[in-house]
Amino acid sequence: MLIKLALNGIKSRWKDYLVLFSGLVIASAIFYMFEALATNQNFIKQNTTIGAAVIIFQLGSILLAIITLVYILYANSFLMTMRQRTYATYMMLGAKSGKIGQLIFMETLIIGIVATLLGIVVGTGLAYGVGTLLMQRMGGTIHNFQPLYPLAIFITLAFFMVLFLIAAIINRRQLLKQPILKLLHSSNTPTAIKHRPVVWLIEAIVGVLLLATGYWAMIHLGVLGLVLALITIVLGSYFVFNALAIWVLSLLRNAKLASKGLNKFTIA
Amino acid sequence: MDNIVTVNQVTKTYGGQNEKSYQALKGISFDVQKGEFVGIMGASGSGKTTLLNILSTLDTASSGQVTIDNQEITQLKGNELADFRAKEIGFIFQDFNLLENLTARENIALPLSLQNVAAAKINAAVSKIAQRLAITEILDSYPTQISGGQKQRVAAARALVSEPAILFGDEPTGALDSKSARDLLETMDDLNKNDQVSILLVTHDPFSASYCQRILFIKDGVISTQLQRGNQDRPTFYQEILTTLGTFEQ
Repeated sequence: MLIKLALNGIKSRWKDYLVLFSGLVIASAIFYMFEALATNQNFIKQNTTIGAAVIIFQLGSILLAIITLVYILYANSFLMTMRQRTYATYMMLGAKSGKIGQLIFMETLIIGIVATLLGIVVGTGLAYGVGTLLMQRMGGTIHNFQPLYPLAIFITLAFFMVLFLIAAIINRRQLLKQPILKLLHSSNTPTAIKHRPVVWLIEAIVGVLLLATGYWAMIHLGVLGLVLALITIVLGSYFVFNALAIWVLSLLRNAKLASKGLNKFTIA
Repeated sequence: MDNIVTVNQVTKTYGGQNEKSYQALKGISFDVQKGEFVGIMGASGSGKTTLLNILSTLDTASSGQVTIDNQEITQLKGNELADFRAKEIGFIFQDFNLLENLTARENIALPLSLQNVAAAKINAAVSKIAQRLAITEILDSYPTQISGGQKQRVAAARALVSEPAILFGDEPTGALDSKSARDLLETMDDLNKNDQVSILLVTHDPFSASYCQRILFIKDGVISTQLQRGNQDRPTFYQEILTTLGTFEQ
């Protein structure tokens, strides 16, 4: 019954979950691709020319990991606000908080496992394509490159499972913290965005500066620069997107675009 | 007679330390006897919804005691509270609050399945209450496929499936057309008379209230007056409610 309720929860919000789901498939596919290229030991040893590229792949996957983490947390909290009322109904009918927790874990993990597995399949294709392309560019031929690499699969699965576990724990905490009456009367739409133009402006400027530093370091400082770039680009992108997205969103809302049946989550 | 609900000097104050505080309930006391059908009436802002929320454990009182079926509910926490909600109280709301993706059968079974009751027991209980409320034919329909009146019957079945000590209704006829409203009220009356279901109904509709045996009128957070139906028939009682409301408003 618990599984049935969890699946039902996903089904009832399928359109919204689909957006989250496809994002997750792409994220895990690219993550897998990076990992497959970076962990293929035989491939790396026999093609010494790409030795330096391994660091880039690893850094790339770390960058992607951070972006994915932020994405999952954001998308999940979004979906959670839409599901509040259902959970409140369960609580009102006498569901214990443990049971609610189990339901949230199950919903999050079902989405997570399916998305990750699908992502690995897509990622295998991507890894093969990119591997071939890389070899052609470098004028070599492929030796011992296995697109379906067990270590990479393991890392991808483990990483995403940890991510979803974190997301589920946060979801559970946030939901159970709130009084049931507030949940029961919460509407199905997410909370409104606060208007803070000055904060956005500062965010945007800091973001652009960080991005510029990142790209400069990448060009001039070699491997150290890459690591530095990793940090500044992540932070920079976050600030810029945060500021810009909110601004664009509020513009869109003012333009009454949202009322034309466009889901706020889809815009987001 | 045994009391099923005892409310003693309950107050509720909204607003924190830095905000302007507002007292919605100012020391309310009353009781409901086993098998009684009691109505609570009052204008919006009178505190009747606050009172119902406290009685149904969705909100907490600032002070005072509420006892339901010999349990002091203001002291309940966590899993005790969940078990209490599952076993002792049933709710019906104005907007039904059914889950759209579950069939009527699954909706009715929900309180029991959330309490890990065995499937065989659940099926027996669902069939029994469905038969009692004459909704056996629509058990496998989804809420979107049935009428408002039928939805409220399903909601009532869900509220009663665990045989609670008391049924709370928050304007249950508010979203229904007059025929469905009458049907539902007659069903509640029937359940009350023949199955000894204790009912507490919050409403501002005099017609709904005329089905009750006793009506408490709330004004500004206290009970200002009450009416007993006694041996009057329903239309006479309805007239009396209207008269009381008329003088009450001034």
